[in-house]
Amino acid sequence: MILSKYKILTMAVLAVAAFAILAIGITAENDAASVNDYSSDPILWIYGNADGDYDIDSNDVAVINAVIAAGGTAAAYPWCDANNDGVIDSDDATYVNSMINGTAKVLYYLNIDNKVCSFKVRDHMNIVSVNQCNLQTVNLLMNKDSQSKVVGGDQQIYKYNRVFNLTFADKPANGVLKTGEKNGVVEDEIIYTLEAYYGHVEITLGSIARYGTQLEEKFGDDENISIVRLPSWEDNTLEGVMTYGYLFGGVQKSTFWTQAVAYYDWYMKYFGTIEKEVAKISESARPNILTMYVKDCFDGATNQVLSTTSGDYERSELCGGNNVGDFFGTGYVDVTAEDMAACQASKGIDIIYVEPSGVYGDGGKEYVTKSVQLCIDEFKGYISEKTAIYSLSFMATTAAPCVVGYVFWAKTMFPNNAAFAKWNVDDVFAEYLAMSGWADRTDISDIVSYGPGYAKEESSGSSTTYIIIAVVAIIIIGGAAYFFTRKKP
Amino acid sequence: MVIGKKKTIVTSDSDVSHMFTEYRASRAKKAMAIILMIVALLIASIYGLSVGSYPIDFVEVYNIVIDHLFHLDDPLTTTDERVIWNTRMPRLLFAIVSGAGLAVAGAAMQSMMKNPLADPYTTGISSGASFGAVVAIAFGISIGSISTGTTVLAFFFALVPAAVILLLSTFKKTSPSMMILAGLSVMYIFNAMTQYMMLVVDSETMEAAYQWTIGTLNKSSWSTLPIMAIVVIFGSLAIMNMSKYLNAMNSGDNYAKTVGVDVKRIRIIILVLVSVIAASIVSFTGIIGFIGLVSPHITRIFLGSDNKLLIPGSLMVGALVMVVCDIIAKSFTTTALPIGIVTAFIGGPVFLTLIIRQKKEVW
Repeated sequence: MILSKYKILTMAVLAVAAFAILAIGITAENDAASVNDYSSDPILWIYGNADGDYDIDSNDVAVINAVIAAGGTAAAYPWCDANNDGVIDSDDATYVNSMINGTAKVLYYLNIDNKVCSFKVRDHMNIVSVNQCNLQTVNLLMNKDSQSKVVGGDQQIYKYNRVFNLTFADKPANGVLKTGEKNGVVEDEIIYTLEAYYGHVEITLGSIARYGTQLEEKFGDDENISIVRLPSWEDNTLEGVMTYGYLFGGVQKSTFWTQAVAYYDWYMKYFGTIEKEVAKISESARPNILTMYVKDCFDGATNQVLSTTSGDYERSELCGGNNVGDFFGTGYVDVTAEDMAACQASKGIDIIYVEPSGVYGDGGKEYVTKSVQLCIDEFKGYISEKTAIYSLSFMATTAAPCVVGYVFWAKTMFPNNAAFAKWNVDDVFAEYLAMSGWADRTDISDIVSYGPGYAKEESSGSSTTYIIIAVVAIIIIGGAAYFFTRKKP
Repeated sequence: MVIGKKKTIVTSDSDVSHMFTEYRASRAKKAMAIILMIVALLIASIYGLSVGSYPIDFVEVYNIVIDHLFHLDDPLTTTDERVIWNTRMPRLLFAIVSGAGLAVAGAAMQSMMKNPLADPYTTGISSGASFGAVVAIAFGISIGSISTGTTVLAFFFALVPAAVILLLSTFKKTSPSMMILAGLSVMYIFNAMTQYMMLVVDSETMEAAYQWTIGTLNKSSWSTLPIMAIVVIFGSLAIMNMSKYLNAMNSGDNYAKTVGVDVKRIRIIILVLVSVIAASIVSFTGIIGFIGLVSPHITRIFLGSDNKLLIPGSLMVGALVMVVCDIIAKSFTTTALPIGIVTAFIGGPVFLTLIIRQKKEVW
């Protein structure tokens, strides 16, 4: 039977539509099974944290009982579903009680990628930490735990190993992963060897979009390997610290948990005050701020502005500034001097915070000073001479020590605020170092900030380097061409 | 009397005068085409100077330009002046010089290799430059600054493929196919090394390295422009000077040898010139594709394949295309799109159209 072309076309369209409907159905079903949307933003991302605060206690049991009495569903009250069975009933209240009295064996939590995960409660941790920001969080939490250790990390951590001064296992093979970064290439054998040697391994890292993209595929079914994706700089740092702390030590009430609580108190001492003070300040009184990387003070060769959607949670706008980075677009945006002039003309820029990089330990003062000067050299004449330019050590802006950044930004944005005036940035940094067990170290710079600088100093630039190199290159090339092309006698 | 492939027997003075009339008409058309190219480039440049994220009135733009041209020693005192003179003017000139250079290099490569798909990157220049840039960014190699170090390493590594071909030429005959194959081999090696570097570096470094490869005019400045301009101008003049040899080589190596052209030597000289021009551009701008490939084809439509006209014509068309792409790049968002993306978006369809419509006898 010969089909007409119209029949063939109709059949093709129907086949595509059927396939699409099937795909949507499968995808939707999987989404429903693996992702729980939550309507509120709890501090602890652990199921059973019914009241959304930073601890699991009898208040959570009371909330669950109230929800049961009201006939609430897991869809409407996801955090009440402590045992993750899809139903809110007395079993959830019992489960929370087991978490409180230390007998729970498994915890259910939401990870940074919005997936519901389970975590086997252990008496100590063997941590493989991916990325230095994650390691800062982990290090702070395990500072007082003598049994837990960091058994491995990715190559980026080894770059800063001198600063973190953590002892990695010398068996086996120093536990170095291949890059656990965006392309997610991980040395399988290292992980399996670590598991065999230590019995169990906890891999801590950020979102799957950035870190260890293949880990779940390779190790997701192994019950002795836990892959725990929580924020250290992405999303909310505090919530990441608290959730790590509870997972690793909340049920056991170990030092992991007491460190997390101590961190919470320290964090809220400063950030809570900042939030209260900023709430009193009108929108018009808030400065217009930009946070950016300036080329040459960073590994990159371009100027990058961080807008409010950059993904970095420790942003200065949390401390009361109006982030005008959105003028340039979303995410990280490459900007020229003219773009800065356009923003200055359109929105006005009161403060620029320049983020240097690679400022772990010594060289901190040199980096922050250089960063401000580079910004001045790059944008002098394009931004206002009244725009204040500051720089803060990278270490003080990201992950667990981000509180240092909050204090710095609050003080520089509102220098006349009486509450902020009492604080000293170096003292806050020293408190963080003490909490992390680094108070006695002499290799971490005590100078974390520099500024303000203003774009009115004279700067000089020279193209002599280029000219010399170009001339040398032309001579070499010309000589080589002559050598190869001369007529031989 | 035999003319070309057709055997035409001239029988009268009227046939001769008809041929001369046609010849003069053809020359007039080409002259008109060249004038139009110059005018189009001027118009695009004038408009391009007024486009940017910082709002300045068109009339004000040219008031500033004219005023500053007559008072070059006076310092720039306002943001408007700095934006026009320190940002947009070097960027415009950067676009003109880089577009011209890439187009001339592309035309020379296509003529030398007798291959319509040849462009300045055929010998692996882009992969060498990418590798040099990634190495500089990954290891933070600084020569005065990290961006200078990146530029310098990109330049030197861009020349490595040409050096390899030069070395090979001492052992083997420098035929076009040999050059292309050698260039491909070097390109694969550099690509492999670049990919390895991208795997082992951290994500911020990888992002920075990737951004370099896209192709941008954001690095334009008065300090970097002269270097590129000197190399492009002298290189282009040298290539134009050799256009008669390229014309001879267009008819085949054997014919060229019979009229006294040292084919091997010319080929190597052209290769070196193209490599230096392309390397000097790529090291500052990153990889901007399609200009070197498409501009000579567009030029051939109007001016034919005579390299005496093709080379300078490509220069103008390349400059024009780059300026137009830069205007488009600056027009869509608050911050300009990387120009490499724009040239690829436009160049692809244009090249397809040329392939479909181009007459074979142009080659």
